[in-house]
Amino acid sequence: MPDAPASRSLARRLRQIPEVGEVLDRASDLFVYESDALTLLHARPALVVLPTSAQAVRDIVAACNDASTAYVARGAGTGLSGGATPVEGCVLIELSRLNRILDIDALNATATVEPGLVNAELSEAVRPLGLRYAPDPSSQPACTIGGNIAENSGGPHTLKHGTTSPHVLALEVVLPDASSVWLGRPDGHAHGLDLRGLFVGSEGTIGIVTRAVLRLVPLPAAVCTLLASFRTLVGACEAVTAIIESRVVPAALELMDDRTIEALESSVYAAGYPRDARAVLLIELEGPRAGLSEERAGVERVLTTHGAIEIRAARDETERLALWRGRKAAFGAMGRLAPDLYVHDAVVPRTRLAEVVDRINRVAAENGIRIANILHAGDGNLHPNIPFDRRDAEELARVRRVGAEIMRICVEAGGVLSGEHGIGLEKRDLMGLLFSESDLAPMRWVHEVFDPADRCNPGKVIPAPRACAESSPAQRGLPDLP
Amino acid sequence: MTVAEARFESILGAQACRLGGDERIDGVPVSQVLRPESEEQVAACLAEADLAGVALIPSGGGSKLGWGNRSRAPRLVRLDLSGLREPLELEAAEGIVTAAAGVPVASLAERAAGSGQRTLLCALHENATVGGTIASDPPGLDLSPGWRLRNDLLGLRVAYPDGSLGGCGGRVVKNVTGFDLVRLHCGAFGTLGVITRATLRLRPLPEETRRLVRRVADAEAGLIVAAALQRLEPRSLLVAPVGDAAEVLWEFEGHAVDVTACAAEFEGEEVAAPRWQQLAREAADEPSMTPDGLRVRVMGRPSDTLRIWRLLSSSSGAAAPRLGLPLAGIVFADLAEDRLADLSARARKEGWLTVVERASPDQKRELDVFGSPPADFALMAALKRRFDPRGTLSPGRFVGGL
Repeated sequence: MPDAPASRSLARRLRQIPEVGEVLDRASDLFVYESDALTLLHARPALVVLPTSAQAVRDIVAACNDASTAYVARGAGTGLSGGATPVEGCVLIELSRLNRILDIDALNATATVEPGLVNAELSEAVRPLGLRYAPDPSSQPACTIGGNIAENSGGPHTLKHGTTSPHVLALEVVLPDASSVWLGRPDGHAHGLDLRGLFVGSEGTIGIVTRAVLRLVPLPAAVCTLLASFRTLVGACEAVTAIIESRVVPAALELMDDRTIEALESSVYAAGYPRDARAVLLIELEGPRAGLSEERAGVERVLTTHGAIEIRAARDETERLALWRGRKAAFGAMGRLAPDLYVHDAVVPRTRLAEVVDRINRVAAENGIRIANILHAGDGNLHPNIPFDRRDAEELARVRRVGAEIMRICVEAGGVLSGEHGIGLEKRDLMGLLFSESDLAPMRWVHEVFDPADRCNPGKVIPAPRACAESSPAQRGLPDLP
Repeated sequence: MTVAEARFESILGAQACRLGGDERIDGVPVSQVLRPESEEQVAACLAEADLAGVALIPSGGGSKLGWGNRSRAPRLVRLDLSGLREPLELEAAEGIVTAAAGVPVASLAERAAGSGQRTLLCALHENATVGGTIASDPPGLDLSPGWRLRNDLLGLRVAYPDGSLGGCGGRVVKNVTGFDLVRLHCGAFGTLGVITRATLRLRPLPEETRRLVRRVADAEAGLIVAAALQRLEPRSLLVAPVGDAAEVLWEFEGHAVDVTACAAEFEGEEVAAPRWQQLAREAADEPSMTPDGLRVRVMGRPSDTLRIWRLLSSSSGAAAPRLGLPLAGIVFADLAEDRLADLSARARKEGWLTVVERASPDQKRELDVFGSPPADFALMAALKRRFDPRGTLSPGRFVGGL
């Protein structure tokens, strides 16, 4: 962490870099950058710098290296695992001004963009060409492509289209030594090790994306969106498994529990979801029109067999968007329940969803914690959401305890720590639940190769070796962890 | 018997070790062949080789042992992974399968089909195994930007030269926990570690598949027809010369009603099964289609396929391009050796990649089959040094002589 004179000297150098939009150093400006969307963790950067070109990013990294100062890249700050939480006294590199679409190749269905481009803006731009960018996190109207690449973000349509990585063909990145290099080929063909694939999801710890070549997919010929309500959560989970076993791959298969429905329907985002249901499934099918009718009939049969009490189909695009608005606004609607929201993210084997959700709810109840569940159920991806008030220290301690217990339950069930939010700071020290030291060692080898000085978003993702005395958060300038 | 050979015998038992005899890989003598039956034995062999300074080359069914550069090691020990047959666990309800590296792709495909499912493992190569296919990531007839093995690979167990066994990824269909080492190992030719088992996503078999063909005047006409066909989103799309003419072949799959509608919209004759198999063998170059020449694969964007074909036609002397995959931007061709430098240079100028899939051992002494190293090669070399500091695993075989 630089002292005040060093920080002022670094600020002067950063201001001299051409194509740096702004360098912020006032406490009131820095305050808003203290955390990403995981507000449980926060730390203050020494400086926030807003580059407007890739060259400026290189120059900023070089300046940080010369000053032996850590730096953290940030997009829109919508991440939920603390991946963009500053390291105390670091330089925060805010990439939102690198936000252009540089090229659209409709013939080959690709787009070249800068990292600060907002996700939804890309799909809007290519829609007239009959194309879209498939990864669609719930924060799609705000989150940026660079942040999506860093976290390998998902979204409801991951079930059919995958997370971000399959949609990234090549990346221009600034490495921790301040050099710039392309990883992968814009045509997507492999030539040597897949460093593009390695970089996606590395959470800004081995470099900073400055340009990305992305794969676009055709808009579907037809779409069918169904909302099915159930008397029990178990019934809804069993229907999910049965749909997948019927060899249908929906574009999306989302589940919301009664507490989520109640929060949503009591909010300004009310979407007409049935308030008397214990769970609803939002199912989207897409493909050629004729086959889609057959697929829909098959899915409706499965839903009925598994106890759906009502099945509603969107009759037009307006109704479809209304159903989706409800799903995507559900996180925001939970603002009614408490001032803070801890959005968890884990994946379990699909067939164990009902059992795992039940265990999570019981643990929460035992600790006096309310949980509202939203699931990308088709992928086995859970988001147990914990509304809480962080001003209540005792409640905060219980929230953290339950959060860690949720991860243990998921891993015990054969699951993993994250399906789409990443590890960041939030789960770094839980990696040992899933990985042995032998599993983690190759990740450390990768990190050593890319960032031997450990200045690029240090302390995220990979826990220090168990024997290492320098691993305590305070010693690494990091906020304390759950 | 050398000290190292004796140590390998003590790890595996004498019955799992044999001398290489006349066996050579790209002209490099194989001194010993080891056939471990567990991943712990694989890891122990790696540790021993690393300690003794012995170069190991992992193999599965051996169908792609001729791929890659000639190793710079004076002799090799071949680590035959075909004995790793367990587990083969198919979890149909979860939509995943976990298989040991030595499981034949054909066995896995048969098992998956039994539950109405399939994987994206390329099934063109006879004798191919799960581990070898993941390590070499060959293009199948159905390759396209959205249909890539690396995107359906969920988890791996890998043995490293330090004798450790590490897992990456998991056994669930969605996972962003930690660095994505799964993709790093896919297509890495076993140069960073040896894959011992893998978990893959299963996809439902389509309700119906139809393969159709249309005869056209020549390959260029075929590629123009192929471009028009792409709006119907075929699973596979091929162009192949037939004498002076050419054929466009395509495959629709999905719901029967959609397949029928697509087939009606773009008419062709049904493809006889032997013809499709012949093309699969052509793509796999199995057996070697023209033993004396080079087999190259030139790759660009899908829209580049016609121009790649033209370049190859003008560069390949008497031999013509053999097969085009317009969905992937790939053309396979046989090539006279003395044309390679010119072809590669011209392709590079266009941003295309030329890979030599087959060359004789003598030819390989003089060339890097992967062409000029890519821009990020320095990072690849640094990773190789960190994962395999003594160069134990297939030294020199991969891109840029890694």
